[in-house]
Amino acid sequence: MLKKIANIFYDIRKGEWASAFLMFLLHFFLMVALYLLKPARDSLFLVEIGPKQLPLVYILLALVAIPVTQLLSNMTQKYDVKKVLHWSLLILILNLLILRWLLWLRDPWIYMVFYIWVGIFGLLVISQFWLYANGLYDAAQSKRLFSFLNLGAIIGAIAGSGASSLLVSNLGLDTRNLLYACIGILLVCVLIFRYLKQMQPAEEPGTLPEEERRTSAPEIIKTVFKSRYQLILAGIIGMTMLATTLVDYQFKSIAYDAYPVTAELTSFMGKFYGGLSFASFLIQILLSASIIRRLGLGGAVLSRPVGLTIGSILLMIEPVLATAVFIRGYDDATRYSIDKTGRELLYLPLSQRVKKKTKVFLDIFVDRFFRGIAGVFLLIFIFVIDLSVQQISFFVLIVTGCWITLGVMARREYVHKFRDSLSRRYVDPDNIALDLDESSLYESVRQALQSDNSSQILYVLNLVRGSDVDKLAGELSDLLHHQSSEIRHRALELLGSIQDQHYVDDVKKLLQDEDPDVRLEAIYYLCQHSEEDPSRVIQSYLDHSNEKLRSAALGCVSKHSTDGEGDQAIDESLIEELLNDKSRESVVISAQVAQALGYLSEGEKPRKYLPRLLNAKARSVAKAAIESVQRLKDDYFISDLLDKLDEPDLNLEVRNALASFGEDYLPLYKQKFMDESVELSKRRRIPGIFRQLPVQKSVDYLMEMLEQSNPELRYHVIKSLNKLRKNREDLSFENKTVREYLVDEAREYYELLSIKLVQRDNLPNDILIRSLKDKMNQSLERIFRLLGLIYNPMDMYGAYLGLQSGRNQNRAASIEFLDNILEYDDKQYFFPIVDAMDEKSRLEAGRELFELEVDTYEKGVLTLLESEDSWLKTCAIFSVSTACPEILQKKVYEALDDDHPLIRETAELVTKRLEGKKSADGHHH
Amino acid sequence: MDTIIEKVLFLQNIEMFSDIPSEQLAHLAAITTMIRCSKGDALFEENEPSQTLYLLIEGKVQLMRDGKLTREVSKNEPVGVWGFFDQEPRLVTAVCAEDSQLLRIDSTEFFDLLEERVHMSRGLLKYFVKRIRRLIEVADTIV
Repeated sequence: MLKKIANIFYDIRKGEWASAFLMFLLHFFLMVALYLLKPARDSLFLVEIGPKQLPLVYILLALVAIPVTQLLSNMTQKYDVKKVLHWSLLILILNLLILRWLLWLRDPWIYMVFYIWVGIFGLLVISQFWLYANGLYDAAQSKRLFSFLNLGAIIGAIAGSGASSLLVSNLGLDTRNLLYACIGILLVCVLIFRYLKQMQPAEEPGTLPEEERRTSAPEIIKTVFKSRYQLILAGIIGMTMLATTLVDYQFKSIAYDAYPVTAELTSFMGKFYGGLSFASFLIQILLSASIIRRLGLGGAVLSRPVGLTIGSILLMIEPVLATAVFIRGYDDATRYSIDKTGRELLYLPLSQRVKKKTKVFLDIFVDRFFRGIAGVFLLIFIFVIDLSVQQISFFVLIVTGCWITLGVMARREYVHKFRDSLSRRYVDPDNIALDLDESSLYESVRQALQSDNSSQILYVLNLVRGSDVDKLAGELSDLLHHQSSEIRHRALELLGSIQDQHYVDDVKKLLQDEDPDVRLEAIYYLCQHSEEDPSRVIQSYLDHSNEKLRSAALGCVSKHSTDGEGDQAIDESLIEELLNDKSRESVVISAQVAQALGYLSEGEKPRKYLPRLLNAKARSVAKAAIESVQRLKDDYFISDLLDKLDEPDLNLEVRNALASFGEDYLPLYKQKFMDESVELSKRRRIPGIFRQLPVQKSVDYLMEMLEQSNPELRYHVIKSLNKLRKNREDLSFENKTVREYLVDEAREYYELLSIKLVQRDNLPNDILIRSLKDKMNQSLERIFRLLGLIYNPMDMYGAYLGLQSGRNQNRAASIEFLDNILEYDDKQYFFPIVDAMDEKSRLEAGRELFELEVDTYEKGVLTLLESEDSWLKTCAIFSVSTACPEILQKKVYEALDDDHPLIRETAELVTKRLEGKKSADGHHH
Repeated sequence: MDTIIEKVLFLQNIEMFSDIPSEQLAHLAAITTMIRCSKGDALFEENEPSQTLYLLIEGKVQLMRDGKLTREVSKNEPVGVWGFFDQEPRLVTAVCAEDSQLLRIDSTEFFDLLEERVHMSRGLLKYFVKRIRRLIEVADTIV
């Protein structure tokens, strides 16, 4: 029953009930105790001592808070939080007994001690309760459960205040005897806590190193000051205390003027606290969850200071009890509902270790310190400059202004903190640049070139291109003998830029190199560094009897000659002769010819020979031909290239070549992509062409290409859009259109889920269920990729990885992060997918968002049997048995004529199975 | 096991392929061939080039090194994984200990498929990382 009621307002999930309920009870009773004490404290102090002494107790309270904070902070770092809370409760019970005894003395200082003690009590138990709750639940659980725990506090406050008023004014109990009632309540808290402890495994006390376990106050302050985020938190707590203490003084002064007798004042205070607790209750039930859901953390953190600002303006205009009750009432009502939830959420990005170290300090010391500061201000306002209650509101307005500013900053930092924790997953090691003029760096380069690490050498060789490499000649010549042909090639290129004939003999040996690029570069080097005329040197190689050298010379002429020199030097007979070579080196020679054709300036020879080379069996020849097409940019070859898109080894080169034709050809590629008569294997490669061309038109065409029912093709379009977004931040992605596709993807997810959840047992549908799960995962990936077009792509990637991770903490951090950065409209479609505990509740959320047609097994399988997804259709056919409705069996027979071979094959298998079963059943009968 | 879907049902029970989406397994199934071996037939010999992966459907296969039995492969287990992936010569000789049925995958076709299908590569990477993790844990325990 209680579960049902709580589930209307709160999202408490399986496995969380027991701990959430006990925590609720604990918070309830702690607040009952506090609200029994508060009216007693206020009325005794105001009547026996008077409101003018309030500033003094505020200061004393701040002074007492320092050692208490230090002690408590040490205890929580040294011992298990559970143990500290348990012992604190027992010590507080003992304290209450002593205080009750002291109150017999009726001495003014006793009331002061009592006032301070109640202040410390309130902070101590509440702070420890929340420290315990913070450790008990992860980020996502906290966001759901903290509001529920706060409800316990509010009901506790209503009960405590109501009880104090009832006991004193109706039953005639002496205000001082409320302390006995409080002792009884605390004993109940101890019992609940013991039960709660048994449910939770004990923390290991030795998890922190000794030196970290006891942190002194200056060290804690240092930790807080080092962190901008914690400093903002401290600022918010400080401003909160300044504003609320001043408001508290204003309220109590006005109340005292209205009720000067102890019993009347206790009763008024009891009723007041009861009334505002009820208001808290209503706010918590009706507004808190929706404010956090709609306005997020920002709304929760700012609602209290904004309300106080309005209240202070009213108090300035009309300083009467009604206004004071409103402002103080609003403050307290929001304090334990929206504001407390928001404040505790602000601690979530901090690690439990940091929380243990600083939370008590922030919650108690900073809180009390600023109350002390407020006391000093009040002393000055009352006794030095003689400000009226009304005039103090001016100061309150300044403070709430600072509070609002800090709240906005905290919201920003909060998101930043979560983003940080997610982004640590990816580090980009390529952001390195070297300045070779630096002698120390030059030495590093030399050492790198002498290392055994090939990829490092290659990286450095690419890095020093364009620099003055004279000093590296020795290292480069050594690399001419390196086992990697790419390193030999790059070293030779660099060595060629040095005007020194000293290495000619070394380079001549490379004419026999196995790599054609090295041979080509060797010929070029020899032409450049020979004492003879370079044209005579190259001619000697073009006429060489060795075909390998002839083809290398051909490549050299094509690559390095200018103004058509190459066209003249290379005649068709030479090309024919080389292409018809049947030696062992024929593949290498053909590749070199293919490469050489790319350097010719007139199109006739390439048009004649390149199509043949593009279709060569040897990958190296085809690759060289594609590179030549890319260099020539002759659209004569486009259809040849499109035909080669589905060749796994070549598709990257083909896409690069197609992209090199420029944006004018994008409509043609789009048309091919949308054309259903083109093979799927080619169509799925087309979005990759757009990715190679990072211009706005690519984005625009890809957006149009998203209009595609095949999810696999859609995936490739979105992937290309992601790449463009990542590489070019200035490109514009129409958010409205992306959002429409996002909703479509979410709908598809829920539709798949609805089919999955109507599946029956005892059918051969394991593979169908698994495939539906796979498709749902792919749909989720597409959703994240689409979100990456609207929001920061790395944020979305980090959040996606966090969700995919097996660790609950990572999942929770991702959900919390997404909850904070996604806009409400995006969240409502997508959040149930990641946040809902089980598939059933996920589907319920889906049904609220979309009209999902599938609600029976028959409809579910029928949808798949009629769908365009050939794989799901295949799995659905396989799942049909004689136990299935007739209409499904009929559909299987219809599938025997399907165009898709896989569907046909499966239908044949299943019909045989159906017939076999039917005839077996017939025999049986 | 003649149809693609039956092969997919079998493949998804092989640990190495368990993280690959079933639709991708259908592509893998399409490049597999069913073979039958009699007791005593050798699937491959030690030091032979590695170009094929076998998946045992029925029967039993013994792996021998220098004539000594090193391991027995049973149903739903792959045979010749490491050589298939690193293309190094076979470390062991694989002999059918019973009449057996296997699926054979050719490495060229497999790697072509892998280049085409990113989700398949992801699934395999997951499997290998899991294995490495397991090995590290075992090593840690030993240390």
